[in-house]
Amino acid sequence: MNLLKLLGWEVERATKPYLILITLLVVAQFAWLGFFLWSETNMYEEIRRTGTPDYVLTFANYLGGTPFILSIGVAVAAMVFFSFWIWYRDFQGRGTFMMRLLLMPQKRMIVFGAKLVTMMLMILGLFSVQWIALKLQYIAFSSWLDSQMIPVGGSFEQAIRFDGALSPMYPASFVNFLIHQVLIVLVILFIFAFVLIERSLWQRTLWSPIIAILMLGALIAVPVTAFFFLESRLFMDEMMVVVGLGLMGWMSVTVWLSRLYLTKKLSV
Amino acid sequence: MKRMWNVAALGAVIVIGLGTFAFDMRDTKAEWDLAVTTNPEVWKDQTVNLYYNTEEGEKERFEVTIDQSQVTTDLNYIEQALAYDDEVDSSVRDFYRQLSGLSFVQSIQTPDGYIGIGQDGNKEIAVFRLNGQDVTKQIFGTDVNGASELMDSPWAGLFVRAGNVHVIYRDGYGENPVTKIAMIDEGAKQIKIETVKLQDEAISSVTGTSWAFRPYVATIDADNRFIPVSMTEQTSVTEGGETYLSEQEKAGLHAYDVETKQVVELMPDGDMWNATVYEDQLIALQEGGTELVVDLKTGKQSTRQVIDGSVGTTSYVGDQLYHARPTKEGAVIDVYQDGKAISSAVVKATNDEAKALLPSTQFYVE
Repeated sequence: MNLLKLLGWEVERATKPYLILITLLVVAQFAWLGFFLWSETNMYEEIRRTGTPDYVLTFANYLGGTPFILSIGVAVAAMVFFSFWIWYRDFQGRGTFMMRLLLMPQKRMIVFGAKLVTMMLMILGLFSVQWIALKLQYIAFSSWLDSQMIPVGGSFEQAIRFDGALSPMYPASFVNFLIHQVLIVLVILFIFAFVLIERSLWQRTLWSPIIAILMLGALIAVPVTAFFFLESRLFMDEMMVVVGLGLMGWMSVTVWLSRLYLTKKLSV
Repeated sequence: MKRMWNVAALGAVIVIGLGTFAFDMRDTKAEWDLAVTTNPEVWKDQTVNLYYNTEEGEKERFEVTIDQSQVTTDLNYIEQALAYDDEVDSSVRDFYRQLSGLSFVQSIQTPDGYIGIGQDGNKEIAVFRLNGQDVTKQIFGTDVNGASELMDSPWAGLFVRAGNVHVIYRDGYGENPVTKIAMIDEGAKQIKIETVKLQDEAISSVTGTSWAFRPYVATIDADNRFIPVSMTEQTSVTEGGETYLSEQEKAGLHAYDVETKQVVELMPDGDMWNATVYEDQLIALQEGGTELVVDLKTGKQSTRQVIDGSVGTTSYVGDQLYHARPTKEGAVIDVYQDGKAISSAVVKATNDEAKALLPSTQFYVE
C-alpha cells in the first residue's frame, strides 16, 4: 500500500466529521452575520429616528463579535483534537487496526507521512473554506448595509489585517502564510511525537503521558531558554537565522523521535 | 480509486480558496524611477521614501534610489531580515551589539566616532565609544554617586564637552520638574550632577541625539558652546473649578549654553520641525523658505533665502536640505547646501499602478 492509497484511506475516514465541522462553522458564522446585521439595522433605525447617527460600521465590528471568535476557536480546537485522534482511534478496541497498519510490508513512516499530510490537507481546507466564507460574508455585509443606507467604513483587507485571529491566518504576504503553515506542521509534529511516545510506553508504565510530556517539554524548554539568552545579544536579521535554524532543529528532532518510537518501540 | 476522489475534492477546495487568497494578497506592482538632473554624486547613497496613505487607512511605502524602486510595506519575514541586514552597516554592528542588551539607550555621532550611553535595568549605566573598529565600554554601578538618580530619570539627550559625555535629564515628574545635567567622567569614574536653573520649564530633548539603533546620523562637534534643545513649559489651567498643571512644548528655538549654564532663546517663534544639527551649526528652515543658521560655537545667527516660492515637503540629511515639490508625474526634488541649490532630481511614476497612487503620495528624503 503506497502513500497515496493510505492518504485516500485516512481522508475518507475523516470526511464525515470534517464535513460536519465545516457545515457547523459556516452555518454559525452566517447565522451570526444575519443576527449582527439585523440588530445593527434596528439600532441604527432607532438612532436615526432620534437624531443623526454619527457612527460608521466596519467589517471588523462583525469579526470582533464573540460568536465569530468562538467559531475560529472551535475550528482550532477541533484540529488539535483531531491531530491526537488520528492516531488514537487506530488504537481503539484492542488496537487491531493499528496492528494491521504496523504489519504492512512498507515502511512504517509511510503511515506517519499519510497522517501528517491528511492533517495538513484538512487544515489548509479549513483555511480555504474560511477565506471563501469571509469574502462571501463581506459581500453580504456591505451590500445589505448599502441597501439600508448605513455607512460602511474600512476595507475588507483592513478588517483582516487588524484582526487578532485572522491576521496570522491570512498575513499580508503569501510567503509569511507559508511560514505560518510550517509552524502549524511543527505543532502537529509535536502532537504526533507525544502520541507515539505515550503509546510506546503505555504497557510498561502508567506514567507514560507524563514521561512523554517531560521529554517534549525539555525539547521545547532548552531552545526557548537559549533564545531568551540570545535575544538581547543578536540583531533582528541574525535572530531570524537563529529562529529558522531552531525551527528546523525542532522539526528534525520531533520526526526522529516519532520515527524511533514508531519503528522500534510502539506496542499495541 | 474511489477513495482518491475525497483527496482530489479537498485539493480542489484548497486550490480555489488559497488561490483566491494569494491573488488578493499579491504585491503592489507600482514602480518609480529616480532620474538625477544635476550633480549625481549627491544621490549616490540617498533614498527617497514614498508614503502612500489614504483616509481608508490604505498604506504603501516605497524606497527609490538611483538603482531601484522597491516596496517596503508588507515585507515577509525573510525580506525584512535582508532589509535590516542592508540597513545596519557591518562596521557599526559591534558597537550596537554592545548597546542592544541594554534597556534604554541614547547615542550621538561626533568627529571622533559614535558615543552611546545606556542602562541595564536599574543595575548599571554603560558608556560606549566607537572609534573606527574599536569599541570601549565603561560601567558605572549603583555604588557610583549619582548613578541611581540618573537611572531613575528620563533622559533628554547627550552632548560632549571636554571629552566627557554629558546627559541632560529630568529629575522628578508632575509639578516643578528639575532639569539636571550629569557629567560622566570616565577617567575618574565619577558622575557629577548640576541643576539647570529654569522656571516652570524643562528640557524635553536634545536635538541630534538618537534613540537606540540609528547608524546614519549627522556628526555633531564635540565642543559646541550651544546645545540645541526642545523645551516644555508648565501652565496652570482652571477648568470647572479645578486647577491642574498642563505641560506642553514651548514654541521657539532654544539652546543650552554650556558656559553660562543657562538655556537661551535663539528665536522666539522659530519652528524646530525642520531643523538639523550638523557639526557646529544649527540649521532651521523657517516659513517662507528661509534658513536660520546658528553658529553653535559663538551663537552668531544669520538667515538666508533658500527656497523660492511655496514650500513643499522638506527634510534634512546632514547639512543638506531636500525639498520635494509634487508634479503631475511624480515630484521634483531639489537639494540645497549652504543656502545654494546643488542638485536636482525627478521621481516619476513609471507605470499605471504608480500613477494611480500619485494624488495621495508624499515624498521625503531620509
